[in-house]
Amino acid sequence: MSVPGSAQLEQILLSSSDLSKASLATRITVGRLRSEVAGDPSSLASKVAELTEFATQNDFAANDLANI
Amino acid sequence: MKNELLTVAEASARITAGDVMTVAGDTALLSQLPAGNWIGGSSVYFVTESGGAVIRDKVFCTTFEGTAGATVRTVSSDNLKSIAEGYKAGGFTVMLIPAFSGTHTKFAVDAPAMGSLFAQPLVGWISGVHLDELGSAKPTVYDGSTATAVEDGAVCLHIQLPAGSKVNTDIVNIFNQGHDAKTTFTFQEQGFSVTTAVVNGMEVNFAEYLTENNIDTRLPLVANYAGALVNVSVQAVDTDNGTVAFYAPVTPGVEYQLASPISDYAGTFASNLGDTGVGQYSCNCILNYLYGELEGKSTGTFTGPVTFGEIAYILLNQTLVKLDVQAA
Repeated sequence: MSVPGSAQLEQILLSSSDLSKASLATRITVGRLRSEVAGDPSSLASKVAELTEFATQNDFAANDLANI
Repeated sequence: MKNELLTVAEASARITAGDVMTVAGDTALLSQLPAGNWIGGSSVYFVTESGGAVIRDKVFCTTFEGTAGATVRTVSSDNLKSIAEGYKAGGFTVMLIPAFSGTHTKFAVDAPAMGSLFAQPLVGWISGVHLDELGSAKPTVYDGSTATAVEDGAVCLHIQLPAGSKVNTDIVNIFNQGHDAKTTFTFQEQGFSVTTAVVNGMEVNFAEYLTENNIDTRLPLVANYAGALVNVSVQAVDTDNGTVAFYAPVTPGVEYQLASPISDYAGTFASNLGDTGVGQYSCNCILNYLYGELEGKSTGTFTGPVTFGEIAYILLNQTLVKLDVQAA
């Protein structure tokens, strides 16, 4: 499973959409990263990198994020 | 997976036979169990098939059948990042931590940012005591590999599943945001206790706010983590000192709303859970048990210990955690 690109992950972190079909692990991780970006918008690039790493290391997360 | 209330003798026989188990019960009973492939935690409150109950003469055992391997391990509070080092490919981990311990606090604060924990299902709970014994009895967890009590640490049961098996964990939170969607709460510091909150952009003393607005503090603050509703429950409001204590830490940057009231806890749980609980691992919160007056009331087919905090990757409050394994 390929990991979505940075632009798509950026959109995921900047939106407030529910990822109801995603695994609990992905929902909690994205939720945390979203709140961190909201609190410090300049951290967006580093949070996208963190989400990329999470999806790279976990196929289920890559699948979750690719199907949003 | 099999959930049963067993006597100490019955549970001991299973352990001696090599069963892989999590055990919940009174400390006096857990301390009698032999060494084996098990972890245990103190709890005397349970959700049974016939309803909530206080049980002190039996232990609640979940037996994981058909596993490909299991390892029991204790992780110290200063080494929680190593929890995932015990993960077994394609498996899951059950973890128990004693309430009020340093590990309880540290896990609550640090777990959300420990990316490695999220690589596979991590579930469990915070052990407790009978509420009449708060302050006199100590919550305990047991490392079954040596049959010893652990006062401060996390006991982990890392389970490997046969190839092709599927495991899934999720939470059931009967609370929703939206009691007053226009009122949002944020906090400037992370912690189990706060002095101030930002309510709709205005900084207030949170204890005064809750008191002056007659807020029902049995209702948790609810945050929406991309569709996962995560509660933080109020433990105490100290108007003299102007502080509010929580059962889980609030997090800066996270927007909370007060949960909508629930008139029928047991019925709401039953309707949210459906009838798929037989053969699943689950635990539910002592606050739901208390506020929902669940003693003697059935919440459906999910059975398990009633706990001082629930774990599904992170520390949760007023939530049911469930884990399901499907054989290959």
